Amino acid sequence: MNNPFREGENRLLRPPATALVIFGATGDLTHRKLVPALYNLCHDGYLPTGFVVMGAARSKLSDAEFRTKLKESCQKHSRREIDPEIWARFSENIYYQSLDGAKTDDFVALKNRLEALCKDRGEVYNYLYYLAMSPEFFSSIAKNLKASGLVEDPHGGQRATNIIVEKPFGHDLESAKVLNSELTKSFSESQIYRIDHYLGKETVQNILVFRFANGIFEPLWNQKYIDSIEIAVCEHIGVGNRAGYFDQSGITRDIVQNHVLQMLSLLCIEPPISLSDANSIRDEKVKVLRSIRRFTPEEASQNSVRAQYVRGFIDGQDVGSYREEPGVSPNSTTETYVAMRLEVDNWRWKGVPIYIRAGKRLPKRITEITIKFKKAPDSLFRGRQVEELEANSLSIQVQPTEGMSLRINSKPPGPRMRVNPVDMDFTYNTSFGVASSDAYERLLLDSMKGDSTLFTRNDEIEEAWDLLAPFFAAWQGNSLVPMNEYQAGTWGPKAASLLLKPFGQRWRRL
Amino acid sequence: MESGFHADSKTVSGAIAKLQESLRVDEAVQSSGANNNVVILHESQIPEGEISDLLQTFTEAHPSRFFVISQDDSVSDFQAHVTAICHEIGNDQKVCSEVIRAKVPGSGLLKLSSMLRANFVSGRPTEFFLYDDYAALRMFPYLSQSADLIFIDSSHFKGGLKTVRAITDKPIKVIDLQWARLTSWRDSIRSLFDKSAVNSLVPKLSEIRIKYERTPGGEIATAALLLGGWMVHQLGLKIMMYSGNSLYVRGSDGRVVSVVFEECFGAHRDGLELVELKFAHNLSPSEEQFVRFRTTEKALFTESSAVSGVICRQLEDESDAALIKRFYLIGESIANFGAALRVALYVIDANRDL
Repeated sequence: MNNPFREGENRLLRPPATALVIFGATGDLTHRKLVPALYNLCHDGYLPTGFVVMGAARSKLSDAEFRTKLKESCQKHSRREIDPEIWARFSENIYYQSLDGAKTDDFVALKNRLEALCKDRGEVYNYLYYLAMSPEFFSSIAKNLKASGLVEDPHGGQRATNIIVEKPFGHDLESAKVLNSELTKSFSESQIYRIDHYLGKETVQNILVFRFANGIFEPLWNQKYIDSIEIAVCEHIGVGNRAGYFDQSGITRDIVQNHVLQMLSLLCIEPPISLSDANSIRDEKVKVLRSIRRFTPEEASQNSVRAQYVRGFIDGQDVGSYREEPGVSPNSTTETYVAMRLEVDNWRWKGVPIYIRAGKRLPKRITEITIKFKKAPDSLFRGRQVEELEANSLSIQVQPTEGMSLRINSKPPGPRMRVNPVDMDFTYNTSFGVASSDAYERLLLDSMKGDSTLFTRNDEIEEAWDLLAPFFAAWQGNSLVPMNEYQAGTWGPKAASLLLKPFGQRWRRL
Repeated sequence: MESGFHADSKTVSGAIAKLQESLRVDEAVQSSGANNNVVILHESQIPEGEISDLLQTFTEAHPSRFFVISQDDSVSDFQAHVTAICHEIGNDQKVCSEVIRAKVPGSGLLKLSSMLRANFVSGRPTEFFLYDDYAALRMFPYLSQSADLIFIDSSHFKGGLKTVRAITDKPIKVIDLQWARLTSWRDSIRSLFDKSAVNSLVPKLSEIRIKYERTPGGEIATAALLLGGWMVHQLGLKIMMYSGNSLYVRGSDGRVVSVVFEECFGAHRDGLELVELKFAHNLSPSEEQFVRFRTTEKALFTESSAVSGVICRQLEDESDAALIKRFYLIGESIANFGAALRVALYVIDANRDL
């Protein structure tokens, strides 16, 4: 029987009562991202009125000690200043349980504590498990959650239980399949939320709104009018304290396999049946990933460049080479820069090259998507002082500033017919007057609501690994694609420019 | 009639342009906030501090060009003052809203509308906040053609929901903050009836009792009327009559339900103390069931004979400022406000006739 009090009412805007258990709670992610995000959600009134955060890790800490440490972290990492009153209200819902991920007994103790907390509050809480740790522990934690009864719902369908996992989702296709198989022994696919934090960024979400809420662009969004697409994810920092992980992975696994291909799939999807249905959107994303041409290793070698940075200067400071970074092998063959040329072989995108570049120790931090349109015929301007018409382009700035810029040609003031490009800009800050929230805020909120739209599905991950496999094969042992070098503080190796030259293209100046 | 009074739009436009110039010089300023127009109308007797508090939150939640107009018969000439209210948004950036405050005598209201229209940000929605009855009934009619959205707080109105009726007969979206204040109650009721053990009791409903804090004028509290109206509408109950302190409604199965409005003494959040539903239709006394919602200053408690345990829900800040901020950040379900209001007005009219 339907609940008459929900008839005609808008969708729930706030999540139901939730107990969020963070495994790996003493780690970097919890302190830098997760708890500051939760604090800001609390500040803005988005958290459910019934809410518990349970930190779980090996260290022995009391609730008070854990709250103190988190307060220090929030003061450092929150996007806004900590309000003492709001912090007091927020932190009284934070608890800590020392736990060994390999011991089932510890999970039973966790279960008892959660049930006691929720009983005190008089509500049935949804349980949300966040695995903020290295993937090698996912299997034992998932198994122990199941074994201790923390996955099944003893309340006859009233409690939802979900699990959030962070990338990397495997190292390649095979390991991704193994990881998923381990998780699905304890959780169903619909319970698994795989985070790619780029999907929580406002401008990335705005790709769908931009495409499908504006009538003017969709008719142009195809191979008739678009010349090429360029995606750049550039960082000026090195590997920092992530050398242990990064040297085993490289930038392609770290950034391209997930963030870049997710952005690419949103740019290229067909309109889904509904933007309210997670699987409709994800189905379309998988179709794009499947449509990306699968290269042989030989073709992959012709369509990619990889490189590693050497000594250079960034912001006027001398920086060492990648191999000099602490934790990096002096003989490392891990790429810190990659450039690729991909093609989506479907009706909409046939013949439109997709240029991707990602790198560390580049001149600045910028993530940008540029859609370059085909040039207008210039015949009307012959005989005038117009050298060459610049192609229109639409740039989507993902970071550091979030916004869009449409480049059009215009006549500058004066008696002569000249044409200069000008930019029509939109930035989030200016237009909406509020700072964008951190990506984790949106993702945590959605996971509490049970909305998996912004989380990646297993088949998306497997398709991404599948299409990159020939590149890894080509790069193995330096056989087909040599490791180039580039000076830190420059835009990459010369070979990257040569990748585009045969097609009459060049990389966008950032 | 005040001679020599003109609502000088050029002076205001000039002052806005100068203000924008000064804001542009400040590198930290990201926006002049000229994305919407918001007009706050209030009687001059309203304490300045209340309006300032409202502006602080409004400008933070919804950067816009604000026009704060008070009706003041002591002024003989148009007086306007243009300033900016800025808020930090992080990363050393701030967003500023332009605030134009003006006092006008009652006779100048007709001319005022031309000043406002000349200085609205072109092509942007215009929202009104009608602070009191005078603003709603005397000032707003001169300006209603410009309104896309109206905020009110019916708990401010001396005329209560009767004043709301006068506004809502125009085809403009109305957000009543008193309705927004009932969100905790509506959320709690919705959540409880999500449980099948409680939902299955609905066909047995025989009485709804709403206890509200006694009002100075002795009328039924607005919050009680709106909440009662909402429940009647959601349950699909049809109005039969009002008698004593009870509204009698009928279900589709012919069952009669009484909605009892009971006043009590003592201060409570939102003026509501308790909402109780009794399920006794075709049941013996020993089989009767209930659900009960009651508040303290900080929490709303939910209990029912059909499920074990008491649910405690923390109540949040429900000042006008907090509700406006919440509206812009989270939104508010007003889908059934109109229907709730119609039932509430029936009770008010019936009460008047008694």
